[in-house]
Amino acid sequence: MKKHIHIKRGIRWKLLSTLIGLIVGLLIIITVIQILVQKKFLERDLDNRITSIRTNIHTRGKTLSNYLARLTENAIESFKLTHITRMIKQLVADDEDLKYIILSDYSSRAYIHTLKPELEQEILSSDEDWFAVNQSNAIIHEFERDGISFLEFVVPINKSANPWGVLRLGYSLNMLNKEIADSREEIMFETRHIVVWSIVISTIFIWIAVATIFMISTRISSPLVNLTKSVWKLSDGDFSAMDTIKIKSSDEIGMLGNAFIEMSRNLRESHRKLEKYSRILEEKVEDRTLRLKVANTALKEKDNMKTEFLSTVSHELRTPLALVMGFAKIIKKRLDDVILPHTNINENKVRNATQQVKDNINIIMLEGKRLADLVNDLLDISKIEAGEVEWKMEPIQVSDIIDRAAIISSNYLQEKKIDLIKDLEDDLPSIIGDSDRMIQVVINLISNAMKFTKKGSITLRARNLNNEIVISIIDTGIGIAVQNQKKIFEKFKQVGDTITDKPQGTGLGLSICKQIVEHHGGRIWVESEWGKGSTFSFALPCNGASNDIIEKNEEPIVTETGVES
Amino acid sequence: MPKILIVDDEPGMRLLLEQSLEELEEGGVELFTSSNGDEAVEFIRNERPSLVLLDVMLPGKNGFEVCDEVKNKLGMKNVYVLMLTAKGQDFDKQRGLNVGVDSYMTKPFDPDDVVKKIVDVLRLEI
Ligand SMILES: Nc1ncnc2c1ncn2[C@@H]1O[C@H](COP(=O)(O)OP(=O)(O)O)[C@@H](O)[C@H]1O
Ligand SMILES: [Mg+2]
Repeated sequence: MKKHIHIKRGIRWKLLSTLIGLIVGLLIIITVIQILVQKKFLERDLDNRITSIRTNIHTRGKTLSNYLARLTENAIESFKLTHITRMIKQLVADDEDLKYIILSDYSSRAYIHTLKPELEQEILSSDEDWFAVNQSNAIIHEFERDGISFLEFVVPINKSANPWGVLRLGYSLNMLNKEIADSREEIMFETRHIVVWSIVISTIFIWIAVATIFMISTRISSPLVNLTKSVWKLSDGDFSAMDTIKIKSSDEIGMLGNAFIEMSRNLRESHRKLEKYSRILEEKVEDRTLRLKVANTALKEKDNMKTEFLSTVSHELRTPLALVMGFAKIIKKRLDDVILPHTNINENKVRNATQQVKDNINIIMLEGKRLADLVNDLLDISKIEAGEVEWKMEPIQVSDIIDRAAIISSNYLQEKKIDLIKDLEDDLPSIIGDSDRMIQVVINLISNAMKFTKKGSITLRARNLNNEIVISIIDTGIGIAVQNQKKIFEKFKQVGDTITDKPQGTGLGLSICKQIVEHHGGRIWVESEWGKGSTFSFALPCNGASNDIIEKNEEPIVTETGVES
Repeated sequence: MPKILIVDDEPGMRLLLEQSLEELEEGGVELFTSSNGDEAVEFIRNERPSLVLLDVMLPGKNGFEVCDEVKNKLGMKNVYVLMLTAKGQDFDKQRGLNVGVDSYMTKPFDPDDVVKKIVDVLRLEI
């Protein structure tokens, strides 16, 4: 599996974005501050200039107007206005700022007027004029006409210490306004200049930053990326990666690289060890598996052979057995029906021999029966143990099992005068099981009880104890000593005095019962005291709680069938 | 006159069955024996016995094959087939049912039971 290194937002990106952000922010702040400072400075400068220009005009105007007033007063005194008129006209022509000079008396007649070629009646229009007349110094006021600002100096003119009129000097303030406009433009220009410079500088800085960061981040990230590749290689089990790593720096990344090499070295070591161990283990496992397989096949073969052998043997045994038993029976018949009636039993020898033959035939028949039972039981138990039995598991009623077993057993019971008592609890829940096999268990236990009980009774009891059905077969027979109570469930184990009191049977009945009960998830045991009867019990789990619910739900149907049956 | 055919490859078994059924002969039943499946089929086709006592393991055709041949191929449904099986296993029963076996007895059997059974089936009066 090949892994590709794809880092969405690497170190480089992070450094770059942070630094560019910082630079741009800083430059914006610096630019704004610079612009603000510059502006204030320039504006103050402008104000100063305006004031100085004004002052200049004022001084010039005042001086000129006072000077002209003196000259005019003298001229009026001597009625020689020609000279001053020419001088004034020359003054206006020479001075760009001085737009006009008007001399008028109180009757509003203009004596000198630089704006108009012909002298006319000039009415003293403004209040200032009237106010100026009574003043000793010049009156200064500003006004605007036709878009042009004017600074007007109005100087009172006296004739022989009496007010005569006024001299008006009009200075244009356009110069000043132009100066202001120019200055404003200059400020704008200056600001723009600063902004442009800021942008240029920041661009330069950004490029420097990008270059630097590129270098730094490459320095940082490329060994990291290489290291990562190596780690991945390592994780794929390629230990060659650690040999290809070359550590150039002794910084943190260098340390990381060293640590990595150290780690992979250790890893390789343990990997090698592990590989060695696992190889050894594998070999061992393989070896064992092989041996086990061989043993297993042998065992299976043996097991198959055993089952096969048993069924063949039991099959092969049946035919001669059938013959022995069959002929014994026929011999007995012929003896009883034909030979004995024609025999002279009065003769002692003959009577004894006849009796012996009869007894022997009976023994042959009984033992034949035992042999047949043994073969059947053997076949049965070998089939159960080999798992060859087909279990027909289905819900079954306990009372059904007991009833059917009792009916089958009762044939033998009648001969023996033993009471068979049924003691079943009401409403026993059903169990899951193979009914034929369950019946087999009960019959087996009843036949044992019958075998070991001379008089009294056999009780079939069924109880529901803690969700377990406990079925007990209780007899009043000879009982079993405590030390034998476990043994009897083993194969071929019979108890009692084997010489005088050897019980009939095969010794396989209880083993078969145990196998069947355990296959149903139950257990079987005996409670007994020597001489006082035995109680053989087996417990089976109830058909699960969920089934109880189903049964309850279907209660009407159950009662109906109950009524029917 | 009802005929009964005994088919078994064991001479002892044939003898035992013959002797067991001896008393029936007095009631007019004819007994025949055969030791071989093919021979048995041949006999049944020609002689039409009322009842056949049939062993499973036979040379030639086995018991099931004989029964199948008689009941299904020859269509002789009213020949009563009583199978004598040594195994008494479940699959035998099923196989027997499939080919039309009427009933079966497991070895070892009580000769009296065989007689009783035959008397029942053939409704003989003894
Ligand atoms: N109800 C009983 N009372 C006394 N002893 C019993 C009873 N049931 C079983 N036993 C003892 O347990 C032995 C084993 O029984 P079982 O396995 O059924 O074999 P079998 O009945 O063929 O002898 C019997 O031989 C007998 O000694
Ligand atoms: Mg027993």
